Amino acid sequence: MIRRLAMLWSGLLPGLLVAFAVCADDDDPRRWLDDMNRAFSDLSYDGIFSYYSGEELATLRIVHMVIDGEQRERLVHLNGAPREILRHGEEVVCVVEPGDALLALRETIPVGPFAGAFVRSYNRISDYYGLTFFGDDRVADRVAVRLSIKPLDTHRYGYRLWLDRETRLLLRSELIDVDGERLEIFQFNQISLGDRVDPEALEPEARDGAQVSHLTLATKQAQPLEKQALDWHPGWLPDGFDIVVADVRRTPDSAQTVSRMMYSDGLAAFSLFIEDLPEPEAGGMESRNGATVAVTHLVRRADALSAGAEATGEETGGTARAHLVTVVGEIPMETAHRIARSIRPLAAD
Amino acid sequence: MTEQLRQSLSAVIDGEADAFELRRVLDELDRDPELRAAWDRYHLVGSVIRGERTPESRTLARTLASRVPLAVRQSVPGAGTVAQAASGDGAVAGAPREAAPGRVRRAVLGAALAASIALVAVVGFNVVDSVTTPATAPEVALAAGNPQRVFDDVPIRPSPPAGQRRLIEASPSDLRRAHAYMLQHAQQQGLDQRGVMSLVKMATYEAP
Repeated sequence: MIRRLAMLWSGLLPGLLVAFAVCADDDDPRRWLDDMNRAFSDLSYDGIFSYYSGEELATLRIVHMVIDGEQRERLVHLNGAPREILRHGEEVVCVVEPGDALLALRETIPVGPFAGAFVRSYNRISDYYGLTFFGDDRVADRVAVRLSIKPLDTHRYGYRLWLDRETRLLLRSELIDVDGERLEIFQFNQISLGDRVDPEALEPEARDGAQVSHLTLATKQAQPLEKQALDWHPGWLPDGFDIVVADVRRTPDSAQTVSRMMYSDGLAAFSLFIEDLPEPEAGGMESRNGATVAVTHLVRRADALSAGAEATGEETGGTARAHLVTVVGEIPMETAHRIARSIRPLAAD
Repeated sequence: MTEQLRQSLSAVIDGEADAFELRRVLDELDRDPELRAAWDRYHLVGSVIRGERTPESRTLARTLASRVPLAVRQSVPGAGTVAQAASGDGAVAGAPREAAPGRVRRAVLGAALAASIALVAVVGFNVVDSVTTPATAPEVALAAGNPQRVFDDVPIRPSPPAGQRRLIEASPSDLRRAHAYMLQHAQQQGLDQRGVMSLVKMATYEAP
């Protein structure tokens, strides 16, 4: 089978060799995480998985292949609103039926610049997480190696991963909060790998007469988003979180712009959105969806500047423009609030 | 009413004013109708907190409950609803923080957050940490000097038991914004090829 895989994707042979090789650092969990990521993007697989995010149990089908050096992927929501997300190289499109809730947010989801923004690295991950193997298990009728990832502080969640022993593809994962509760569970129920995957399965389902809408999530031709000279920054961050993306986008409800920054420690990530107060009654709030929290705070620039302005003798101009700071990410609620509270203009330093 | 005076007023209300501040506020009360109105409001809020059932306090309680945004934690992790949110450091009213330095307590217990404290008293639940509203931000900043440092000094509190929390619905535009940002966050992660998980959130998105 290895030979056939290598023949099919000869360009990816080095990656596969790493995945299959029994090498000296085979016991290094960081290597397993690297291999897991590579398996996601390099292998061919077609499977049904369940995804539990606190309240809802969803079932989806994922088909993934690399054809002519391009990633092809099809993600199908099997219950609830019929939706498919299709990836063709650098194009990502979400196909929905009329009236889909996603369409209401259509204008709020800018077409993203594709990938490349962030190369995950697990080199420093053991500074923030304890990584330990905890035996074998069986998932989707495959032998899985269990890997526990425990945060060393309370500012990030933990993970339990079940990695396919043969390919290191992620077969099951659990996101664990600081109290040990499971916030999200992802698990393949059934999966086919390698040349058993049919390229036809990448084609979207033709719906009889039903009109469909296309939501472009990423495109090769997308205008590069405005690079931003950062105006704001968090005065406090949990250890190990570094900025990975910063740009300026349109706000969900208007033509206003919003500064966006994304931070990651290699596993967990959160985004900051900072905008002028969109409407006078906008207020602080918090929200949770599975492991993802959204926390909004109001910040007045003059306030945020006051300490720094005193120190530098800078004039704040007397007007305190209100800004809305929203922190979204897979981090504990308290941590999100603490980050949001710490946001201040860069000039304050 | 100047910010300085407002700050002094809050100190007087808290019983933390020195003789000079007290004298100044008392002098100004007769001259400054705005200060006088603020004084009345704060005492009314005090009567709400103490549970005195005057017609004014009941009206205020209702008004606050309908107007003041209050950040409350969702009781069940994972539910997709958004809790509207919140002004002020309600934790001080609901469950005083032993570790909070005096200046924090003064800033927070003063005029700045009177409204949200009253709301906590009225509806009786815990409020999450210090979300600043436009009404409260200037006072907090002035009284505390450096809001950043003040808040950083406050230890992160463990979540209260689920039963202590209650929801107030966010406005449709607040909800919309939160959901849009959640999806943008998921989109970015999905596009960065961080596994199948992130676009899954988009595929399984449900309207609130």
